[in-house]
Amino acid sequence: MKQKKDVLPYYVAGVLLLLGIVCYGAFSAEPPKEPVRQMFTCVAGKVLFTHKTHTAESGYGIACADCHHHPEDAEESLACGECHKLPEDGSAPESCEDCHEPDDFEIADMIKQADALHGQCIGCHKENGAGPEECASCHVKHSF
Amino acid sequence: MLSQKKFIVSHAPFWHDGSRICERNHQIMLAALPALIAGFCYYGPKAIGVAALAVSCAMLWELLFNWVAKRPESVGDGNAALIGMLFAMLMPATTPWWAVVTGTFIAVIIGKQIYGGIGANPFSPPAVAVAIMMLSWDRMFDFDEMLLNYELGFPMIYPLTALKNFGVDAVSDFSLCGLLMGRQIGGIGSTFGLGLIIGGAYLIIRGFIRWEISVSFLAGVFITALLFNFSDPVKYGGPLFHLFTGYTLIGAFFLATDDSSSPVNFIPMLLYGALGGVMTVVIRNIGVYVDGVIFTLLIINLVNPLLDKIRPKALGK
Repeated sequence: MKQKKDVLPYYVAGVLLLLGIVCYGAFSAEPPKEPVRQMFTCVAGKVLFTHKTHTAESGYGIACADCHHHPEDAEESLACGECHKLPEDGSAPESCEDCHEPDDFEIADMIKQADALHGQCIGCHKENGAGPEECASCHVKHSF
Repeated sequence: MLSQKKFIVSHAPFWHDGSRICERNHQIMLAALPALIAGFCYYGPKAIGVAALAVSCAMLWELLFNWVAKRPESVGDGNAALIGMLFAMLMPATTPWWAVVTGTFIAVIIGKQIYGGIGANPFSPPAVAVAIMMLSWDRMFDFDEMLLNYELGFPMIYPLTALKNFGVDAVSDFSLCGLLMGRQIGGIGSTFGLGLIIGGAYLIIRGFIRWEISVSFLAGVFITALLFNFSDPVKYGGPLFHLFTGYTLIGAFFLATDDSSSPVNFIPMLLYGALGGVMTVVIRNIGVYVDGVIFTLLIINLVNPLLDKIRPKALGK
């Protein structure tokens, strides 16, 4: 006698597939406007920066303009990389030319992103006597 | 000589206790459910999406292979669903959909079906998938980076990454009780230690997995971590920390106990588990990976046929 085929697993697979598609579609990975944490990637190893802990009143309460310092009167802060990430061909970042004429600034004066972040982080940590200052205290060599 | 009796069988009626292969897989899924549900509670609908897609894709890959290979449809045995579920439990909640589709393909087709299907796979299929994914897309297993935008009310750093890079001081904010209750980031279903222990104990009591493997695996982790911790308490984490973090518990109860890739005799099971536990901590403490469980599983799966050569003495000899 031929055994009757159990169709339940096929229905379960179909329903779960639909559920998966709906969850992926409805809850897309759109990052929040103000990041909770940021991962800076570089040759020396990744650095996990607790952005919200630094900005929240319950955290260190640092004002946006203390880090996102330019331009001072901007309604929305520019990300560090918009200015400090210099194109390899030696040209100026696009964000500079949004406000400045090409003759108004020297690209050689612009600090590279790594130096800017090092200066910002270590400078502030030293100034306040809090937070890590050594390379190995922030940079992660083994990440998975 | 031809009339010599070699095998005698009694006549019908025979008795069958009603258990089938699908019951075993369904029971393992049931045991894994508390840890998975805890993951859903922490990570929300994204985690549900990963798990649902992984289970359904694993079943569809199995069905597709059945059709292509002209074999009987085996979706109903629940093994593909179990593989999909375990794969999802190891992944972060923000795993992209294409990674779930690719990972389940690797687990079901490369990890199981090309060896001949259920019972013939030499490696744990979810471990094969995660190992290949880990080497292909390493950033997907950097839980710190994958879960950047979650705030769950506990330290949002992956404990094993913090320990390996910054030493024991960096993980002092984690309490053992919190780790056991899943208050740590990681794979969707691999952080809620209590749920995994309860699920594993249930499977051991019901006889679906062997206690020898799980207990010796955990003992291997505990003793090796303890020795390392004695040698340098500032650099190496304590034994309980290693037990309750990373993939240790899901590996000990749900991955190392995969029936076709683990030994069947008592002494080999103890050696297999203990080797897994020792290797896990050795990789974590002096290897380059923060969590050695997945690669450990592949190594002990590889050693499994050799260990099974250690057999009890035959009766009458």
